[in-house]
Amino acid sequence: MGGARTVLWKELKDLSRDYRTLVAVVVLPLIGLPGLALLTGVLVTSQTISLAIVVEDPFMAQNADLLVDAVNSSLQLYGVAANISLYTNLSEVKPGETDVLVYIPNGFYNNLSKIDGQARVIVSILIGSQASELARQAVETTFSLLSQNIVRDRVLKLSDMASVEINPESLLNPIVVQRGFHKVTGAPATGVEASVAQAARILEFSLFFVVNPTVVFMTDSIVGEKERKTIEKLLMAPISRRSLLLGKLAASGILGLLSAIADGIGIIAFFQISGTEFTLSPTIIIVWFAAVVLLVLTTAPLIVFIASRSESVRAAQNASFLVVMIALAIYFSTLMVDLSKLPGPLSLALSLVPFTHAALMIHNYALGEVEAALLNATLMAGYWILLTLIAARSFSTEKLVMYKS
Amino acid sequence: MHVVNANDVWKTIKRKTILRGASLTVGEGQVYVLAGPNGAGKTTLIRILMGLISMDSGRIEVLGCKPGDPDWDKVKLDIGYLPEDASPYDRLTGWENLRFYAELYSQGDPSKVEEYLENAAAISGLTREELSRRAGGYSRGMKRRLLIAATLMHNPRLVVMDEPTSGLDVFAAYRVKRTIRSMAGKGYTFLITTHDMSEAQELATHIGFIESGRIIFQGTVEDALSAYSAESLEEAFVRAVGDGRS
Repeated sequence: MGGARTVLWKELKDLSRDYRTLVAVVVLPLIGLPGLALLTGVLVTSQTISLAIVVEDPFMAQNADLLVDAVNSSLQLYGVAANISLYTNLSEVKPGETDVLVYIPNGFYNNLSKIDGQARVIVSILIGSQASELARQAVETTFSLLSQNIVRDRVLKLSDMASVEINPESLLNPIVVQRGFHKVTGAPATGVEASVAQAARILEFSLFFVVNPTVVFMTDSIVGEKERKTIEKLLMAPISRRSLLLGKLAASGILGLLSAIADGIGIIAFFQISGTEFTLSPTIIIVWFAAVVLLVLTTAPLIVFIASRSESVRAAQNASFLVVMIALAIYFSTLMVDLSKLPGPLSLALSLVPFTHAALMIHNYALGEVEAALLNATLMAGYWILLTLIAARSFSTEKLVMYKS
Repeated sequence: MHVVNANDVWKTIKRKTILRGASLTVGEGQVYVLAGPNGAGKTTLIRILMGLISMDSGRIEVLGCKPGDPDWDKVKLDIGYLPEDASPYDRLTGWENLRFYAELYSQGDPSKVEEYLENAAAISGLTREELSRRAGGYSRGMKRRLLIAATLMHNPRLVVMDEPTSGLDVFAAYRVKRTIRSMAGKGYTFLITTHDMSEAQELATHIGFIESGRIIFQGTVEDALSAYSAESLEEAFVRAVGDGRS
């Protein structure tokens, strides 16, 4: 065990001076993810679109300022800054020079003021512009609110005419959908629990960021030693293969955990800064951390197996890339797919991949299925032991030494 | 007593037979130089002797133990091995490289770590300032001296060096040879490979000629010169190979 500690010391010393890896694995997520949110926020709010409102209807033209104020308020809610120009004739506007065009034709007010009239407004947006799309939504929200007010007035007028009492809100929304939540066990769930379950998907996806540095480090730690011609002397030092492997696995574990912590902080900062709803509970963070630990412990021996059987760095990288892609496919799908709801054969195939259980561990816990989450954790631990035994067996000095760089 | 005893060793790698019944014997206190051209099987034989790769057939004993046996990890404590083209850890300083090996060879005894570090610093001939720098910035000669120091720091009973001066300039090679001669004078047993016959003549007390995976001669340097009526080992080797081929 002393040998393993010495190898761990060497690996960590070496790693602490491998600035590229440290920047890529630790610093980049810590700065990059919050930076991305900040940058996106700054860019979104600093973009200004041109919005042209053409009011040909004379009555509406008299109240155009009120319309502009209402549209402006909606735009602010959507976080879009716009330069709004008012026109009284459509021919004054060059459509190519405006991002959003709102056209209120003649007769608009006349149709609105009839008890059963239907007024028409035309909104045209510049294609391929996200800001224009947001502006369109803001404009439609404005007109939707206006429509609701007009319906209320009409209902009140009709009820007066018919001398009956009608609640306009009931007429507008005859069916009220009342939302509730429940867990897989059938027990009711709170809104916070529902939000945490939703946020758990992001945590599941974030597991991918743990796999990658573990793969990169382990590949370099095994095949890189061959390439840098340091392995042969190390193998002849008085240290067992088991201790040597243990030292390297421990180092990759520490790097994986550092990366996970950095990614975790980065992701939380990203959502905080971008203002997106992202609710976490202390226990889900603990479960996520446990999943990360098990994932690192499982991935590292898998890469040892691949790296020690690879004849070159490139071959090791190619084979490891396959592992990374499998992890990416599984963790990316967790954003959209419920892994636990897949049909039998597909579910069985996925359950053979250790990565699946790390995601399911978080997923099941977030849904309140603690026993299922524990089973996933146990399976991960089983995979870890199995893969470590396979890695130790495949860690052949002959293969390591005979490699030609 | 024989420190190394290899008998009728055969090895085929990727359908190419590298060793064809190679046999050699290294006695205590000898500087045994295994000399032969590139591709003769020197490195493969050394790797088999060190237990790094397996042999197809043959018998081997190093310091009384068969490589790969359960006691082999203990035997490694008495061996200093310098592979061909070996490199130190570039991102570690000279001291850190030495400390790494000192920790491994001391087996957790802190007093031994300091002793080995002192030994290594003296053997390397590198200054404290040089040892405090990262090994990645060293010249090839400095790297080799650092590794030789790491190889000899624990006073091994057997020192195995594969082409120790390969790729070094004249001054660096001279320093390495001087270190080997100095340690040999203290009674260390050396097994060294080289393709350079003049280097073999400079260093060897005993010589083994290897060609196409066979040891075609082994004995003292004087035996080799007299057996082939040669004035130098180079001449003796050419005649030995000629004899073998004829």
